Amino acid sequence: MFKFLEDIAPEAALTYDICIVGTGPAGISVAKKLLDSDLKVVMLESGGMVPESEYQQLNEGENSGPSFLDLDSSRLRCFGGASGLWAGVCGPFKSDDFEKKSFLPLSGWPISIDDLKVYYKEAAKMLGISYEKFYNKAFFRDTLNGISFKQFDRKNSFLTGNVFQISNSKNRDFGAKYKNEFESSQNIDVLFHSTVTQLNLNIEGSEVESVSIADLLGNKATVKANQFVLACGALENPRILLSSNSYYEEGIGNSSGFVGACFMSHPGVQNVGEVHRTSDEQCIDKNKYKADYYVAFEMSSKQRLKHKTLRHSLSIYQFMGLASPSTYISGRIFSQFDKLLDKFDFLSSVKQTVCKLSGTYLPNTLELGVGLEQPPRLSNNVSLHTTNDALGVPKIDMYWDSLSEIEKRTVVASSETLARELGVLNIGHVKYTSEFLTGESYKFDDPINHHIGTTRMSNNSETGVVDKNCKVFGISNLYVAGSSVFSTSSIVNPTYTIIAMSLRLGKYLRDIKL
Amino acid sequence: MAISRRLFVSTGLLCVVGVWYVKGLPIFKGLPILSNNIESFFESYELNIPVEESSEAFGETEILEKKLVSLLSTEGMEETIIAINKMIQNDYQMGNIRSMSGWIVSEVEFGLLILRNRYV
Repeated sequence: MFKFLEDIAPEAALTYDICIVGTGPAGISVAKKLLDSDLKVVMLESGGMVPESEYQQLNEGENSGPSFLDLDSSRLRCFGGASGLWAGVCGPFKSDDFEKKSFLPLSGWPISIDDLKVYYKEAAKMLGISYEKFYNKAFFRDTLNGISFKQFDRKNSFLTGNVFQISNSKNRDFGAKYKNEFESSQNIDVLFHSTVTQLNLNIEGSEVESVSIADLLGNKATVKANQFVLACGALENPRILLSSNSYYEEGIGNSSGFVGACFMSHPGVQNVGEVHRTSDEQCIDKNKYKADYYVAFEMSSKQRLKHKTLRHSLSIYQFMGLASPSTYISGRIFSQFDKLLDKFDFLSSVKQTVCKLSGTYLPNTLELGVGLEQPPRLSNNVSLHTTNDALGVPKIDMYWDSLSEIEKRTVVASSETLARELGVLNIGHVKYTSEFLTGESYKFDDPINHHIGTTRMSNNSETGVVDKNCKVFGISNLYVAGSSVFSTSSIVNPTYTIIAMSLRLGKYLRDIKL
Repeated sequence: MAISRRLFVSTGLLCVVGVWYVKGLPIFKGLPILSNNIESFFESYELNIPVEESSEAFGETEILEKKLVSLLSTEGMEETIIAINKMIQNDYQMGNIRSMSGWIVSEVEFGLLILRNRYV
């Protein structure tokens, strides 16, 4: 059932079995496992059914680090949350993502990929994609990259191709997809305009007794429950834990200082280099490749471990020239006019335009960028700013550092490995750009909007915030769902794993004795 | 004028030995008789790095130069190109690479760029 806080009696004290804070992909996935159960569940949504500008303003915060993270527009306060912004790109973690690596401090998860497989399959069904397709090598050659660089698919290749699938808009927009199911639910209430302003602990400080909620009209209430789940994203989850500091000065679950720490995203280093192919330019017929999934290359696991690098994604793409509409849409025409003019090739532009009617043009020279996994670093963190939002909750102070040595080393090693693969096959060369050689390419802002870490999962409270079941250390009934619990960030888009892990948490909550 | 068979054979042998000896002397390295071979190699062999972007290619290439000359004199052009390509691929396989004016090239390619700058 859908309700609004303004329709509830003033200062009401509501009581449920389970209270889920947030209705994005994580919150909805947890709740999906609780639908039609004997449990009485409430989902608290800060915004409305669709985004409302005054509630969106509660996202505002400050950036104090050298790298800029868009705190405002990358999140939606409404039913379905950021799924309304999501491009739908899905990929599973690899088994080695969960393993401890000697060269990567704080790496390793307390769970393995085997703990997630069944939930990955379930998440795939929710998203209308195929779990099996991720692991079927035959699909490699059906992709544009697979056709363009079919020689990479060889035994002992230095590179591996990771399959990504695109969930279509009908399946990925959780707000639209699950509206009717939750609105008609008998055991789950969704309460809108209900922003959590405080988690209230019991007198021993060992469990959450209630949460305080408020709207922008001045209405307030408290919600009591046996179990609480924070599912508000990797920026808001630590914000709520840190600002709930009336019992513990450092906030809840923060005895070791890990709440807010180890923020990670997937920075994309553009303009790394150019790939010069020795073969002729091609026009690849669009009937020959599929559009709903693609392959991205990275160093093989063996090469990554040998070179002690992070996971990454080699992005090999066609230069957006003056003839490409993308140049104008992305604003490149203003920011890179000199480069565009310098690289303008009339004949190539004509060929490109003609080719686009029937397929994809693959010139001899392609651009190279590298998308990066970020290591868990204490210096990348979310803390509380000195100013408050309209509800009196401290705003976010985001400190996102410049790229570290291991990140830069990964860019170099992966580019060199690509060059080696091209060289072994005698099909091309890689040339670094002058921007890369001068370090200019490392200056980035976040076009990806993946928010990861900040309430990390660990074996113990000394190095994390939640345990393997996503329960906050030291608090018996508080759980966290979403990418904030990821111990490491991998390179794949996080939402598919967020959904799988949240389904796992939902099952756990349904199974435990309340 | 008639010459005896013995004189004909002796003179021929002497010429072959003479050329072979002269080619081996260090002071004759780089002389046209050798550089012509390397020049003709670069006429047949395409290095995909533009000439204007290989100005950073300088240094010692004695071993590669000897190898190239040896291959050209014993194997001929086609086999030399095949052998050089194998050496380059082996470099990439083993990770023997370096950066030159932004280009990631194998050690053998780098040596060839030096020779190209010197002889062509």
